[in-house]
Parts: sequence; C-alpha cells; structure tokens
Amino acid sequence: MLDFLWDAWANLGLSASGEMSEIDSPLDPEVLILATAIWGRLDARLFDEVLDWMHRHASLLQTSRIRTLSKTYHFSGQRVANAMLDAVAAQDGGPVWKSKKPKKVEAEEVLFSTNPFFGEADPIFKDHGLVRPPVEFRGYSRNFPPDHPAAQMLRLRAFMGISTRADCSLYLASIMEGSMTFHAAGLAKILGYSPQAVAKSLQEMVRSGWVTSFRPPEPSDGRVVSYSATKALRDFVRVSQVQEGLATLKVRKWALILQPLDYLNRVLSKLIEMNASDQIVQSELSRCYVKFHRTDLWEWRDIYPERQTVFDIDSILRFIRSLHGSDAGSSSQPRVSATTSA
Amino acid sequence: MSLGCSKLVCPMALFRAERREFGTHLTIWFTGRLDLIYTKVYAIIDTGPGRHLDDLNALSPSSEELVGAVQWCRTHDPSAGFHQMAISMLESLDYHEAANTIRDQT
Repeated sequence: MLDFLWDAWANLGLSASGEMSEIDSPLDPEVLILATAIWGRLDARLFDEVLDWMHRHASLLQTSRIRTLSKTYHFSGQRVANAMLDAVAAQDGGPVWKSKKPKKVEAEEVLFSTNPFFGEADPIFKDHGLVRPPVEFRGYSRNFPPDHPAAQMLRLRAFMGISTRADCSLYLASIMEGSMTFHAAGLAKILGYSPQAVAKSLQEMVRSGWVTSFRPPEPSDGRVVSYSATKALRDFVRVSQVQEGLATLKVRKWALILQPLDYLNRVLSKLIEMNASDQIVQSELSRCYVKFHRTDLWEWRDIYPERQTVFDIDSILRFIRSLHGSDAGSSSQPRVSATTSA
Repeated sequence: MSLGCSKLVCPMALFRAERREFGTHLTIWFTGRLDLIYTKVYAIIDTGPGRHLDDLNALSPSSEELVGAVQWCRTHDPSAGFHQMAISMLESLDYHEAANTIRDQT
C-alpha cells in the first residue's frame, strides 16, 4: 500500500525520489487523503509530504467529500484525516476550511505507529488525540502535471472549479458511447456527494447539450433518469489520453477499491492482536474475500499485476509468521505476537 | 544535504563521503553513513521523531555511533534541555547503555 501511495501521490506532483510507477487512470485526491490517513501512519515522510501537497493544492480539494466518503464506505482514517485538514488550514496562507471540532479524546495515541514518541507534540494533532512532532511544511511539492492521466480529476477541477460538475463530467466521459449510463444516486454514491446535489447538477448539465438524459420506458423503474456524456464532452475530457495514445479513459472507483483493503487491514490487525492460529487466519481471510467478491477490490490486479500478495493467503500467513521470526515453512501452529500492526 | 554549505559539517565528513560519477560531466559526493547518522540524530533531537527516525532506523546505528553522534550534536547545542532530549531519545529507542553514557556526561 505504501508503494501504491508513493506512486499515486508522485503522479500528482508530490515530492518523491526513486523509480515511480505510472498510474494510468485518474486519481481521486480525497480518497487518497483517506488512504494516507490509514497507511501513511507507517511512513512519516510520506505523511508529511502529503500534508505539503495538500497545502499547495488546497484550492482544488473538496473537504466535504472526505467526510462523506469516510461515512459512506466506513473508512477508518477519519480522525487522522480531520487532523490533516486542520493542520493544513492552520498554515499561513492556508485554506479556509470548515473545521470539524475534534471529539473529546479519552486516550492519546502515537500517530506514527512504527516509531516511539518523545519531545514536543504538535498542538493541532494533539487536539485530535494524536501525538506527533510539530508539522513542518517544506514546500517541496510541485503543481500537478495537467497532461498526466492520473491528474485528470484535478485538471477538470482547476478548469471548472471544485464542484460536483467537474467530477461528474469525468465519470460521465469515461463511459463509452452506447454502453452503460449513470443515474444520479449511483454517481452520488461513487463520488461522495449528496444525491440531491448531483441530481441538480446533472439536470443543469443536460441544458448545456453536452450531457444527455434518458428515462427508460415504463414500467421498468420509470422514475430513474440515466445520464451520459455526448461525444463532444467525452472528447474534451479525454484529450490528454488521446495524445498519450490511449484509446479509452479508465476511471476507477477508488473508494470501492481501497475500502475492502482498509477492511482487510483491520481484520489482519485484529487477528495479529488476538494471536490467531493459521486456521483462523485462513478462515477469516477467506470470509473477507467472499464478502468482497463482487466489489472493485479485484481491480487491484490490473493496477498492480506484479503485487498480488493481498489475494494470496499463504503469502499473508508467511508475512504474519515473519513478524515474530518463526519458520515460514513450518507445518506446526505458529502463533503471532501482538507487537506490530498489519 | 550539501556538506559544503551546511554549517553543521561533521569533522572529517568530506573524507567519508562517497564519490560517484554519472557520465562524463557529473560527479556527486554522497554523505557517508556515519555523517548521516550524526545529522539524523541532530534532526531527531531538534525536531522530534518522524521521517528522520525512519531514516536513522534504516541506517541501523550501533550504540557507540549514537553516543558519538550525541556528543557531536552537543558541540552545537550544549544546553541542558538538548542534553535531556538526547537521553529521552536514546531511552525511547531502547539504547539504554548509550543513554547512561550520555547521562554521565553532564
């Protein structure tokens, strides 16, 4: 996950070094922020560079989406994400974001779970019950590269403003002519906006002539209006992909891909904590895969074909055993210590 | 990190730097391991754990190297607060022997 997050953010202008993989579909910055709030706790450098990137691109972020997506898909990183937003907003020249007052925290926890904490704590993160050293914004982030396929969501927002229309345009344009269409509620759920806001925007976008609406004949669910993009809108949105020689624009539902991974992560953490046997780990993981067998999780295979450990129970078992240094090939019943998080 | 520009150059750092050539016109001197440990320790005590601690862990310093690093850091900041922070850092990282050595050097 950390490799993916470094690759993804680097594609959007984050300061990173080393060889990065190209992500060839538009990335969703708010979903990436939620993912960083979860897995970025294992990499302080990534976490702080993302804060820096957020500061630079604050005007292109839709903070209300972070809360809606988190609630809709039950992401575990909401508290950390709130602290990240507050830390960015508190900077000189920072954005004026509506802050959600942190709940009273019973016990503080260390933000970067791989490191012990000592010294002075950052006051903003501390308000959210998270201890970490004071945040330092280094200003190394660059502007997102507008021609890159990964940056198309940001590009449309930069052109049209941070509105439901920009994000709706991207998803509508991703559908090939004559194939499936979107209805407002479905699009709202994918995007993390309210259904009313999306429905209103789509109705107005139809008036532009670049979006068409379609009401299926009665009696088949006659109340649901479907929307699709005209060729003009598709061409407009896809122009950079055409230049890159890609025939189609593959827009992924990132929240639906990363939410099962977050769930798996929590299940694994719990199994490690309870010192579960191999059989229990196998059974719980199988249950997870059945639970998610119809979800977008499986798109992970297209994104990272060479890294499929998440789908390989044996690899996960080997990883868990390695946490406490037991023999990977042993047929005995290795137990897992609760010293480290999955 | 540029050794030439830094005011915190470790003693003899240039002699430990690793020379690498890229093509015919570019030569870069990379900071040596010991000097990286020294500067990372300084950064951790100064700004707290975080990315610097991840870097220090990757360098797997020995107890002696950490004591040397703290001693060097104290030539730049001899204050009692810095000394206490250095001990806290070593204790947090489970380098108790090194922490005791530094504690004795008040």
